[in-house]
Amino acid sequence: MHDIFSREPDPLDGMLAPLPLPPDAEALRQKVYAQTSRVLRRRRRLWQCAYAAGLAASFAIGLLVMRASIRPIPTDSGERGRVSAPSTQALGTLTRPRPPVPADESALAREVVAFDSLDQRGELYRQAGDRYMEEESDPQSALRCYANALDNVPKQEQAISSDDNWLLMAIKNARQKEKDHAKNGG
Amino acid sequence: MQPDDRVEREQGLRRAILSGEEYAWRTLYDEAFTGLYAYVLWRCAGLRDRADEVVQETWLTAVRRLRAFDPSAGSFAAWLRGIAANLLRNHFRRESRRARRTQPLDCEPLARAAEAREDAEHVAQALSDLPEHYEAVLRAKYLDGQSVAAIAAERDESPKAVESLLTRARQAFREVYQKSE
Repeated sequence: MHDIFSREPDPLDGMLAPLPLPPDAEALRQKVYAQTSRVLRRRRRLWQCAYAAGLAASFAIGLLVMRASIRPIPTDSGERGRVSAPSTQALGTLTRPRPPVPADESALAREVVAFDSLDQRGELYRQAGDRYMEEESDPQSALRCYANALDNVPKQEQAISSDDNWLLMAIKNARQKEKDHAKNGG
Repeated sequence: MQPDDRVEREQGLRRAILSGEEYAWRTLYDEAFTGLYAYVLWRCAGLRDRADEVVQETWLTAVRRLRAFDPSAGSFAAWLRGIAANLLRNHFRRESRRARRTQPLDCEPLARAAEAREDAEHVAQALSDLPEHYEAVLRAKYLDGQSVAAIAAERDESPKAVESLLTRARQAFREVYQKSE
C-alpha cells in the first residue's frame, strides 16, 4: 500500500500532479470575459428598462388618481342638484326656469333690464345681484339688487334656499326675523 | 487579507456587480480566473477541451447566479470551485451513461493519444467520484502544493490527523480509479 510516508515513487503522485496552464489560456480568459460581461450588460439594460417602466407606471397611476379625485366634485346639474332637491322642495324656493339673459351682459345692464321688466323683475334682480357678487365683488350693489328681488317675488320664494349665496341668505334671514318680530308684537 | 476584510471586500464587489458596475466584475474575474482554470484542469486530468468547456460554463453560471453568492459563507474562489465541481459531476454522470450504451471497437488498436486520453478520463472520473473532504485534501496537497503543516493549520486540525486523512483520500482515489478502469 502506498501512502505519504512511502519513499518509493507512487504513480498516483503523477496522476494527481497539477498541470501547467496552456499557453493560450489568455485567449480563453478574454473570450469568457466577453461572454460574461455581455450577460452583465444585458442584465443592466433589463434593470434600466424595468426602472423606466416602473417610473412610467407610477406617473400613469398618479394621473389616474388625480383624475379620479377631480371627478366626484359636485356640479350644479348633478350631485349638488340632487342633494339640495328635498330642501328646495320643503322650503318652496325659486324653482322656476330663469329667463334667458345674454351671458356677456354686465351686472349693471342686467339690473337695468330687471328694472324695465314687468313679469320677471324679481328673478332678473336676483341675477344682477349674483353678478355683482361673483364678478364685480360689489356687495353694496348686490344688496340693492337682492332687496329689489325679494320685493318682487312671491312669498314662497322668499325662504332661504341652498342655492342662495351668503348675502342673499343673510337678507332673507333678516327679513324673516323682522316679520316674526312684527307678528309677535315687538 | 484577514477573513473579515475579505468578506467585506467581496460583499462590496458583489453589490457593485449587481448594480451593474462592470469594473467590479473585472476585478473578481481577473483575481479568480487563473485559480479556477488550474483547478478545473487538474480535475479534468489535463483534458483541455473538457476543462475549457467547464471553465466557460462555470463563469456563465456564476455571473447569472451571483445573487446566490454569500461572501460570509465562503470565498468567491471557493464558490466558483463548488459550481465547477457540480458541473464536472454532472458531466461525468452523463458520460458514464453514454459509455454504458456504446461499445468500443475492439478490432482497432487504440492509438497512443487515445489511450492517454482514456487514462486522463479515468483520473478525472475518479476525482469526481471522491467524497468532497477527500477531494479537498488532495487538492490542497497536489494542486495548491501545501505542506501537511499548512493544511493542518488551515483546517484547524493536527498534522497527524491531516496525514491520516491524506492516506485515506489517496486510498479512496486508488480504489475508485481501479474500479473505473
